[in-house]
Order: sequence, then C-alpha cells, then structure tokens
Amino acid sequence: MPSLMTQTNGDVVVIYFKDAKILDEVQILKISEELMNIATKACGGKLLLAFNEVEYLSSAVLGKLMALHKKCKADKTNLKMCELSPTILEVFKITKLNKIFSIYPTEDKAIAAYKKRGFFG
Amino acid sequence: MSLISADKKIQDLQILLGITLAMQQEKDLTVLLNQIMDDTCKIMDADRATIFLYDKKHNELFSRVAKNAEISEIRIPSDAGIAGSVFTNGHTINIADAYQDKRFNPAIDKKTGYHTNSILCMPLINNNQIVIGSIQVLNKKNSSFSQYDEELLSSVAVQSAMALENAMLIEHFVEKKQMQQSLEIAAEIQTSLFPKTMPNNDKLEFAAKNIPCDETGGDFYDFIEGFNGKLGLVIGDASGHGIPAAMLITTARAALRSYAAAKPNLEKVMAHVNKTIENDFADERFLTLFFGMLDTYTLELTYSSGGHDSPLIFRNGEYVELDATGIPIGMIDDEDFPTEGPFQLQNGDIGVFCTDGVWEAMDANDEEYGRERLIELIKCNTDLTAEELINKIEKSVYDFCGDAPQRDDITMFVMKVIGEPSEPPEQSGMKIIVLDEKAPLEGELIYSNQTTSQNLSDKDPIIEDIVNLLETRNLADQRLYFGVRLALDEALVNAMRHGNKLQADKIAYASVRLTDKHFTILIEDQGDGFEPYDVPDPDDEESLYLERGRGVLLMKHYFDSVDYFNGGRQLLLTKEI
Repeated sequence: MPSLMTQTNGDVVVIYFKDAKILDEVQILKISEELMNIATKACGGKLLLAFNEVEYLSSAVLGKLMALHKKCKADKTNLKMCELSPTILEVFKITKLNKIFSIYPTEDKAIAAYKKRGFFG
Repeated sequence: MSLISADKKIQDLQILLGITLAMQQEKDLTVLLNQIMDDTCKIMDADRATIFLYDKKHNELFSRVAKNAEISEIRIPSDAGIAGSVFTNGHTINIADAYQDKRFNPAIDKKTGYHTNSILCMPLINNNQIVIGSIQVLNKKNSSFSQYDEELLSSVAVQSAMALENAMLIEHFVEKKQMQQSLEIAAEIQTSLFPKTMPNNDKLEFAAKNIPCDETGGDFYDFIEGFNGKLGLVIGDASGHGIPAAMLITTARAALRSYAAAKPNLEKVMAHVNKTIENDFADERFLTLFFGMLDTYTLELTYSSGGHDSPLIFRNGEYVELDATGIPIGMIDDEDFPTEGPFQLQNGDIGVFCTDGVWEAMDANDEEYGRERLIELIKCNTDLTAEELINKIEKSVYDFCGDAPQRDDITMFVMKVIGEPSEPPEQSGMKIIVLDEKAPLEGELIYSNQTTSQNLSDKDPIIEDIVNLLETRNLADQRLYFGVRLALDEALVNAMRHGNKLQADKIAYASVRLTDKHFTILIEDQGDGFEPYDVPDPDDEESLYLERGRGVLLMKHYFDSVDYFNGGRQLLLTKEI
C-alpha cells in the first residue's frame, strides 16, 4: 500500500498524502522513499506537494522534506507546496522552512503560480 | 418723614465714598459681595443685607455668604419672593411690615427662626440699564425704611452694580481660563505621547502628521521599536473627539505598549487592548485600531486591524488595501482579532496609514475629499519622499476644504520602502542551557510512564496518553495539543535515540505534573547527557538540513520554558495555564 497518491494537473505532478497523521518512524521512512522516487521521475519538471488531509507531522518529516528540497534543487525540479493547515504552516514558520519552500494556500493558487507571479504573490 | 441733618448726610456720603473706594480694590466676587452686604447693613442701620445676582445660564438668583472661611451659596428662582419680584420688574419695594404684605413669603422666616419686619429691596442696574440682580435690606433698627434710606440704598446699588458686574466677568473669565488651561495641559500630555522622532531605519522613510480639531484629539499613531528588528506600526481613531476620546486613546496606547513589550504577538496584544477598553469604558466608547508588525530585515508586514479604515500600500501604480480583520476595539469582550500576512514589501512601496479624518474632510459645500482623490494623488506622486508626500497630501486636503471648518481629527503617517529586504542577523538567546542539578518537581503527579529504547514506535502510546490527558483536563487548546504532540515526539525521540542510543536495557521516562499555575512534562533518559550547544541559525539555509536544533525551536515555540537538567538527561517542558 503506497502512502502517497499522485495526479497530474496540466504539466504539474501533484502529490497527496493519504494519512492524516504522519508520525510513525516506519511510515516516515516509507513516505520519504516514495517521495524520492516520485521526484526522480519528475526530474526537471514541476512537483506540487498537497497537504490536504494532513493534520499532524513530526519534525522528522520536516527533515525528509528538506532532503526532497535538496534533491529538487539539484535536479532543477520546480517544487511547491499547498493546502497546509494553519497548525502545520505554523511549524514551517517556526522552523523558518517557509522561506525555503514556496508555499501556497490552495492547489489552484499553486498551479497558477507555476504560470506567473501576481502582485504580492 | 423724618428730617435728616446735614451732618448725618455728610457722614453717610463719607461712608459711601469709603465703600465705593473699597469696592474698586476688590476683584473677588465672594469677598466683594460680603463686603458690600456688611457695609450696607452699617450705613442703612439695618439688621441684614443680601445681594442677589442673576445667573443667566440657570435663570436663577444667587448670593454667597462667607462665614468662618466657609462659603455657602444661596440660589432662588429668578422671580421668587421680594428679591425676585424686584429683579423681574425693576421697581423698588419698601415694606414697613412684611407680614401685612402678600408679596412676602413667611416660609423662610419659619425655616430660619428669623422675624422679618421691614424690607427695602432695590434692583441692581448696570451702565447699560440692565438689571443684574437685587439688593435687599431687612429690619431697619427702631423704625422702617424712609425715603432717605431709599436714596441712600440707591446710591449703594449704583456703585455696587458696576463693581459686582466686573467681579462676575472676572470670575467667569478666570473659570474659562482655568478650563482652557486644563484643556491645554491635556493637549500637551497627549502630544507628548506621539512619537517625537520617526523610526530610524536605512530601508524605510517615515513622515507623520496629527492635526486635531479640538485642543485634544481622538486619533493617535505610534511606532513601537524593539523585538528582533520588528517595528510595530500603530494607528487608531477613537469614537467622538475631545477629552473622552483623548482618554480612550491614551488608555489604548498604554495597554498596547505595555502588552506588546511583554508578548510580541499581534493577536494577543489586540485581544488584550480590546478587553481593557471594553472593561474600562462605557459601551458607546470604542476605537478603531490598526496594529502592523514589520520585520525591518525581511520587510515582511503582518497586521491585525480592529475595524480601522484600510491602510493603503502602493506599488507600481497599483495599490492594495489592508482590510480590517475584526470589529472595532471595545465593543465586544473576548473578540478575536486575527492577523493577515505576511506581505512581502519591496523597494519603492509606499504605505499610507490614515484616519478617516483625511478622506472625510469636507469643503464648504459638504463634499468629501474622498479616498479616490487620495489614491489618485499618491499614484501621481510615488517618486516623492515620505516627507514630501505627506506635505503634498496635507496641502491637497487643505486646498480642497478651503475655508470650511475642520470637523474631525486628521492623522496619518506615510512609510516608504527605500531598500531591499535582507536576512535578519543571527538570533541571540537560543543557546541551549544544560544544568547539572536535577529538575525541580513541583505539583501533583498526574501521569507517569516509561518505555525501553530499542523501538522508537514505543513512544507513540505515551504521546497519545499525555495528549488525551491534557484534553480531558482541559489544559490546552487545539493548537497546543498539536504543539505538545510535536514537542513530545521530539523530546522522546531525542531521549531514546540520542540519550539511550536505542538500547533495549535503557529506559526513557515521561511524567506530567500540575500546579495551579502551570503543567510540566518531564522527559528523562539514562544516557550520558550532552554538552551545551548553540541552536544553529535557522536563517542559514545549510543549517536547515540539520536535524539538530529544529526540535528545540519547536519546543521553545509551544512551551513557556524548555530546560535541560541533570547534565542533559532530563528535559523539563513548562506551560503556563
């Protein structure tokens, strides 16, 4: 059973999480592995990580996301994130990861942002 | 009619001259009244003399009696009794036997125990032939008041009227002057509360104006400098103006400043100011308040606004409005004031923060200056400095209004971005302190559990237990459950992995204690402890890849204190309730 689900939206590969809580060590390892595989396939393209269902993630997950960021940067893959709940967004802000990742409130806004940058966007 | 000797006449005239001279020296109304009343008694050979003066504002006659340094004021309706009748009709009344005359009201005699026999009462007429009061003498010794007495009292009345009127004018003037002075002092205090200088920052230009329409205004603005390069931008507008509005904003400013210094959290500060105003002022008193927090390094602006007219941010000929995030301050207790942002500001951006006095300024035809006019003006002048721009706006509003009187306070400040965003410097105070002593254990133990360290998943039931416990006991809100879960996750992983090195024979402990002020979570391991280290700078991108330090940042965010004891084997998380 994969922990992630992907869908394409135009030329963007959108990744959805299946679990509301990402805390189990084994589960985190599995997600990390899947993320890396998807990123390898999307190399040089557009990757959007949607957190719609996610209620909780531990800081170990943040470490895995940083690894993904590093890989995407090396691959010149355009990685963005969207649909973060306020509490999860807060975690990104505390750890200043919001400055590393391009984070958008909704999937639509993220997709639009791949096309152009708006005023104050 | 008895004959009056020439000697007596000369003597009386001399006394009268003395009275007149004395009157001219005295400017205090109360002293003057009593002086005249005493002298009149003597010259008239009467038992009592009373002067009634007209108080136009209350349509009453009043007199003041000074006795043993105490002043008592007597007030009667302006047409009551003999004195009122004389005042109203302007005729002299001379009564030989009061109880035989129906105009006399014996009620006062009854009340005071005095017995009135004869009465002589005359109007006090000023130079413009206006009756300003009446003078009344009672009980001529051994007889009633004669024609000569009338002439004599009339002389006294003419002289007195002038002196009394002057004294009344002076008293009124002094009262007004005192009121004026206290207003001026209030205005001075209030002006002293405005920032004396603009924030000094090489990326930002500021200019501000405050033009109250009374001595004291109901508007304010403030800049709060301090926390880690954060700059608080504040503008507010109290309902109404004058002294009540001034008191309202003075209170709001004090509450905001004191609380912002202690807890730089926009939402909490706004909620606190709201509570203070709601509790201390009547319901119809409220204010609109905008509180923005600008990171002067990154130029990110976050704000919360209680009903304040949207400030404007201009960029490249376009503008955005920073709309209110809540209702005005002081209307409803326990109201939330969410934040908006952060908005990334850029070089060249212009922020215009006003009170509605600017666009609601009216010309002689009651036409409003309007936001549109203001927006157009700014759009055409974005190359000006903040100072030049604010002067331009002021002039434009003045030119528009012409001779029409100013109806509301006008307050505004302009902020112009003249530099690029930059990374903030390394945060101080994030060094982790590790104490050798054991953690202090206060309060009632409400939970304790332990696990071996070989399997990290074994921490999960403990985390679930503790979060459920806090939930059951209603010790935290939804956001905090999230934080507690995150912090516990962090702390237990550290204890099992880094402390106990994932060894099966080493135990990690968790316990929760509760006092009436806070709850604490203690996580303990059986490892070797660790040396103090600096939390890596979270703004340095390389350090973001490090696992170490991120957890501490998170724990510090959600808990009030995060302390290591026993050489690093004990971690104590404290949260105030």
